[in-house]
Amino acid sequence: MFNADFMQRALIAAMIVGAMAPLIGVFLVQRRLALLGDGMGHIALTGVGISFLTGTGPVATALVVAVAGAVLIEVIRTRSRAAGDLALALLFYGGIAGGVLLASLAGGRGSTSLNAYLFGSISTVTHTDLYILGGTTAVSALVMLVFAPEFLSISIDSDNAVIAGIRVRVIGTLLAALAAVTVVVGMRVVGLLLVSAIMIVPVAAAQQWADSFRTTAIAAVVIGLAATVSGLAVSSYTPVPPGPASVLFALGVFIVAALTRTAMRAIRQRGRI
Amino acid sequence: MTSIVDVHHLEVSVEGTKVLRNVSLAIERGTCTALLGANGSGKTTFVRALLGLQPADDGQIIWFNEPGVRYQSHNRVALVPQLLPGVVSVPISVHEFVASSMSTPNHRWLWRYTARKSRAARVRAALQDVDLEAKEYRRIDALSGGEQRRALLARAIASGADVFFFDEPLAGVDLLHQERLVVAMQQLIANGATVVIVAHELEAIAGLVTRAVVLGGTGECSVLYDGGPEGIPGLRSHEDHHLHEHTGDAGRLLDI
Repeated sequence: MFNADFMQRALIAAMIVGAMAPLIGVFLVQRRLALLGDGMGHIALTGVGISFLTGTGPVATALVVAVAGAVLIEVIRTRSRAAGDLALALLFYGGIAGGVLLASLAGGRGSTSLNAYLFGSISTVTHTDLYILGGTTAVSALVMLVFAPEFLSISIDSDNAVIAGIRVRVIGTLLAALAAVTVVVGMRVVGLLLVSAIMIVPVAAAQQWADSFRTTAIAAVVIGLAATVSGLAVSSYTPVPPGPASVLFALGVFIVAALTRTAMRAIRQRGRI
Repeated sequence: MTSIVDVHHLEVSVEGTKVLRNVSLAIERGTCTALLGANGSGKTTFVRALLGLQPADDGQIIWFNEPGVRYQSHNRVALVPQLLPGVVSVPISVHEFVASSMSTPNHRWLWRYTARKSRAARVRAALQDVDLEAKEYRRIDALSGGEQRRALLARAIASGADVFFFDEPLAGVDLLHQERLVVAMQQLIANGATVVIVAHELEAIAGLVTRAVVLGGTGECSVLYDGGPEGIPGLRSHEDHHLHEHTGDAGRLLDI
């Protein structure tokens, strides 16, 4: 089933998302920003709308808009804790409404293909997309390799990170920008509405059993890969888009992990009595 | 004596309310200072302002006699907070938690990858110092309260610091763990570290402390007493009755 040219491109894109999204997500969950990726998907939609209207490449345009949105979000968040929550909501809703509006203005072409960006589509990954995805992934991986200890440090205890001399705002913004990049990378195969689920759900599943950050991250990447690849496979046989299929797979893993853990605890406690 | 930090006329507000007014003091190297005061006397705010975690309205903070230089560039200062900073979202092992203080911009990033073994050894040594090496690979949130305090101390030790700020290190810790923590702090002092302990009572740490600073006041707080710990009982004298009222717990305990 992965023989067709477009399927191979989709598979590469799916594997990139499956590996990268949980790797960023594990830091977001630790920072209690599990919904950040969701908001970035909304903002990226405005980028897609702009690309419909202007004829620029959707991936590149969404990338620029999403990263700009990520920087804006971090500025709002650090400026005011209290008003931050509301400001973020406004930004997110503005993003999705703006995206749909711009796509509609672009005429029939825009509004019909919007679905492919919202829920993913296996046939839309072009060669150009793949180059952009490959490039941004390489840069993201490098940033991750260099700054992972800083990301962990600000995620565990931002006061302690300040004392260690880490520029918490800069590093926080960098992490948010990486999340934005991941959202756009996942836009093609999982869709903007569900890509943040691939960041978060595998982490939620992995942490049921893990007892360190490292094992959580590794297990989350494995679950993420399994989810996106199997989502793609389901999508190639059925009319189901790859996004929902991937997310439901990851949710399935989470439920099994959570149930087995609860069961194990119950057994252990009974043994103690 | 060389001072670690000099504070001149520090003024700090928290959420628009002035908490500290005109606080000046210097902390000398190798000393153990208790920072005392009732709840709300601004002692934690003072430490947070010193460490740059809370912006100051006015005044000067000079670290290591180098005006204008961030203290972080030396990698010498650590804070031991009262509680874990809510690290329960993703599982974090004790090892990872302790090692997290060792990632600073002062280290070339390659060091993090090349010096893995020596880093791990440093974490282990710090855990041994606080008698926690058996729990190295446990989840940090699965430790008892007293063990978590010691993990926080191990993180500070692993950072390589020689200036330690403790925020209420013994509050809410049972006697056995209190003793262990005091022994660990004693070791730090014996090794030449500078220690500042924020506390609302002196009793348990009286043996360690060479100087006591009492913060207090009605509303805006400032330094009410600065001297040897044995000097605080003088607060009982008649003239100082007013002072005593504001020192709250710190004075009261020494009243006994």
